[in-house]
Amino acid sequence: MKKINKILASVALLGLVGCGSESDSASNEVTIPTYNAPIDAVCDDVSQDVNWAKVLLADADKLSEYKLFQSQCNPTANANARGLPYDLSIPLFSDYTSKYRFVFVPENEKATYVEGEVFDFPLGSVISKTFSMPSSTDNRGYAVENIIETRLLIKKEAGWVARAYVWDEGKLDATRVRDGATVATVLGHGEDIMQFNYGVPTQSACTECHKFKESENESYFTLIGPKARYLNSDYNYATGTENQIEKWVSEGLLDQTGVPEVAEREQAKTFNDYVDVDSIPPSELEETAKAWLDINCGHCHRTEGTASNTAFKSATQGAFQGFCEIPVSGAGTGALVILPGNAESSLVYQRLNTTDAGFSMPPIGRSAIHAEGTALVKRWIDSLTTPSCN
Amino acid sequence: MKTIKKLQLAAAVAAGLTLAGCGSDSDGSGGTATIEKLFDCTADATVDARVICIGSADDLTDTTIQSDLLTALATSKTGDTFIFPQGRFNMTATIGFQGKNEDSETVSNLTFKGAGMDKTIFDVSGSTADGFKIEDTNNLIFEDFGVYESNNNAIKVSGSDGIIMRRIATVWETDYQATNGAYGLYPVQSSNILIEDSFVQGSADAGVYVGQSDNIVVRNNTALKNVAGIEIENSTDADVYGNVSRGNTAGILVFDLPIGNGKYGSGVRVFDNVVDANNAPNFAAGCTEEQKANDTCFEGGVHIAPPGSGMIVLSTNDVEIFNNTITDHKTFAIAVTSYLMADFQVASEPNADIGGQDGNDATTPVLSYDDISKFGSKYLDGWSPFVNGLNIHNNSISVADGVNAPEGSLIQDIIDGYQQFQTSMGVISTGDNAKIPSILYDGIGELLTITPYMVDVDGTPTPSGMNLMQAIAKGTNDAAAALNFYEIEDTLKQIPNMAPFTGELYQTDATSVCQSNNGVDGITVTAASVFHTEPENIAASFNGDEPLSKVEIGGAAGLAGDIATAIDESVAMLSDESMTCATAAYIGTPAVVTVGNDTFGCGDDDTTSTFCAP
Repeated sequence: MKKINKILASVALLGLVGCGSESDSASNEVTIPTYNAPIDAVCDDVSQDVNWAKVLLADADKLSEYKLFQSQCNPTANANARGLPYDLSIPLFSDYTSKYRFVFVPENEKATYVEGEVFDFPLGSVISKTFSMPSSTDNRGYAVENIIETRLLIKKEAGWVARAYVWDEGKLDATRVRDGATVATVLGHGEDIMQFNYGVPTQSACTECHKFKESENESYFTLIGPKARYLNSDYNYATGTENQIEKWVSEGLLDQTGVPEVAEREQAKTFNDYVDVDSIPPSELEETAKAWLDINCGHCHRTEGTASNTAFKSATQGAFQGFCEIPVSGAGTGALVILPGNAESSLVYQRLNTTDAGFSMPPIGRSAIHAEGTALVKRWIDSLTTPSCN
Repeated sequence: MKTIKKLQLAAAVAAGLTLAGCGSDSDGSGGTATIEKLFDCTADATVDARVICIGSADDLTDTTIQSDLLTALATSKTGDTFIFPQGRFNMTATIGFQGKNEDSETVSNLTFKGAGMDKTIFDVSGSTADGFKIEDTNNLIFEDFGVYESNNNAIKVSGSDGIIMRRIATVWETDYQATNGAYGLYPVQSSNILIEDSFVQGSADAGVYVGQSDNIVVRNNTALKNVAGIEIENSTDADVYGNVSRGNTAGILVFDLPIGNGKYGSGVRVFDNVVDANNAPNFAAGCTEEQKANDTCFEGGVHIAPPGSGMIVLSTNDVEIFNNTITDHKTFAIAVTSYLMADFQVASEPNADIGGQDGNDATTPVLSYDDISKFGSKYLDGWSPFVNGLNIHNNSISVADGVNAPEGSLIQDIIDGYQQFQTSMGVISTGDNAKIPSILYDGIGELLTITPYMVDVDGTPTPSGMNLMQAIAKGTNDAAAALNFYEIEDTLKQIPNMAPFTGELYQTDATSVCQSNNGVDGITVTAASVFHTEPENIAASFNGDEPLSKVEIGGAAGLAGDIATAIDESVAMLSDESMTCATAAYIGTPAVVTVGNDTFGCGDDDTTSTFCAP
């Protein structure tokens, strides 16, 4: 039933073991590369001040022109003034890259708290997210990773715009791309060696995930991550551990007005690759799995998203749908979206647990199977006891 | 300790630069002669009418073409025309556009133009997703290029008003391969769509697929060796004419599926087409036996189309099929069917145990519309499983000697029944293939409509004053009303906010499905319904709650030796007068497509085709 990935055998290893190889067993001979960040001396501290004028133009060819970080080589630490690192309590999977997120809000401006949806940011705000591939998921950090790309989202007059910068050879600066890129990757993951092509998105692919269709004829570019439920968690700042929403307020990035009392604030379950799926108590399983589906699928699988016409809706905002639903089109055949008690017969699980072109989900931005997230969804679906679908 | 499962080698994204370094042509491109690369374009910066050249005289490498095209779209302005060079180019990324350029400006009126559908070819096998994916913009023209070997769809356009696809080829060069991509030309959730003079081959679903859209003209295209040549699905106001559909599993499909987003089809005319020898195997991915056994299949996909199908009308209202030449199909020329042919649960008696309040644990409690019956929410959404208003007339249908050999798992019991019956009656000689009617109508909507719904009063069956169809509709409504009344929800199923269902699943006008003057030189071909459509014959049409097909009735009688009954039934089985309508049958109106200031359609810009003259 599943599509066979036509390119699997003939293409996967081309870059690594030479052209024309069709041997799967060659993967055993692959060695995992090691990565070293450039030495500090090469990377001048460019500035202590963000170049806000350049930010508003959003037209830099080189990432360093915005002067977002103290070191032009390192977008994973030491943001300049009005920049703050943040994390999501449950992240969107991006092929096991380490993701270094920063928010920048211009002087004298503040973002506004929004219930249920992304915060409302002022003109000139920047979200910086750097994707960096470790040699092994057991050993992460800028010093030992292959820094691949830094994606900026910049709030302009017309709305948010996306800019992707791919790190140059030598890793001293990053250059803007509109047409995407692929990076052949070998990654150690536990006892496994994974091989895949990491994909830098094209300009259009950015919009595909970040699009919010307000009505049939109105759509705009929106953020995905910075929602209260994902930010309402602790972060280990240089100055100590603090709740992120509290920190944003105290740093003057988020307007205190409109921020609910602690007890009233929405909060998603915490989940990451280092949480043992089997250790999640049954009482928290559904909420955790739904939160994972929300952050990974919900921006498209909601009424305002690109996948609005599918039978699966997974955004926390709006009714969750998919139980016993029949996938009508474009979904292969033969499985219900979610068959309670049977993940293997559920399309949601099938399409997460594959990398087959045209079948795997999400359709862009994932080249490897997210073993931990997929296991979480499987355990949840398998745990559902009602109803039968007849 | 964390658990890590053994992961398979993942290679979902093709190695773009790496591939190019190996000098690899697409593996699937065998047989296509090399196309000389040629640049012929003059850029123009006129505001609102820019011409953007893709590639340059000096550089027509694959990577440049892809990069130029993606960059041109990222920096596009309303009114842009993108000119593609001649040649075959390997793409590793989806050529996408989402209605806004990189500065979040809304952009529309884009033209994508190549040097010819056999001269500019994008081989997109290196991309994991769609070849072209253009969404949420208006007034698009695609002209004179080909998209080959997509892993998903070749050209998908959604959420857009005004789409012209003209002289476009979408091709998968390996025949009958389930791993070929899904749709070739694929406008969906859109309006004002013209697809003309194009060529589609090898799709593992539909070559031309127009879905959930309005105002559609599909004309003068050629569809070869797809599962479905041309498919109009959940769409309104469509004209499909002047096309050649040949060598597919099924030539032309008009489907209306329970998709649940309020978008259902009607008003489709199919005329002046050549539908020829669509006898390919059905190579679409289908349901596994386990899934069939567990009833977890989606039944409505093209995988159900029997090989040897000329046309199939499924569940769609107001369809006119005329003046087509339909030749040499081994199974049937035209099938007209309700969704019950695919799934009998569509018309099962509703479950009324709202919230489990009947005190009987054996009945399934109703906690959502879909617990009322399997398709409860879809009825409430406006979907009907039945064909209402169909007129098949003046088609030329013929089958050459030796072609007839009906097959198809969906209708195997019908084929078997006809074979048994005909053999026993000596209608055909032993060993010959069974003939099933050239126009095959399921008729079950009519049967349910003409059958009184009996209730037990003191153990005695008593007419309720309703027919079965009305009883099913009323039961669905009553259960839905009770569901609303009790405000029942649970964590698993939330009740969507839907308008109450007021209509009937099937119109009671029994004359609404009609056929006339079909056949070669006026010789009427056989046309028959599988279930009884005449009130006088309903008495024997049920075995308890199970409707019996004529094949079952006639076949059983024939085999049991009741020759008189069998002969009587054979007339009904082979030529059903119920499809002959006394009164005027459904006559459609021309579809008109408006793109910018231009309008297109039969009788509009086209006044030359036989039925398009003013």
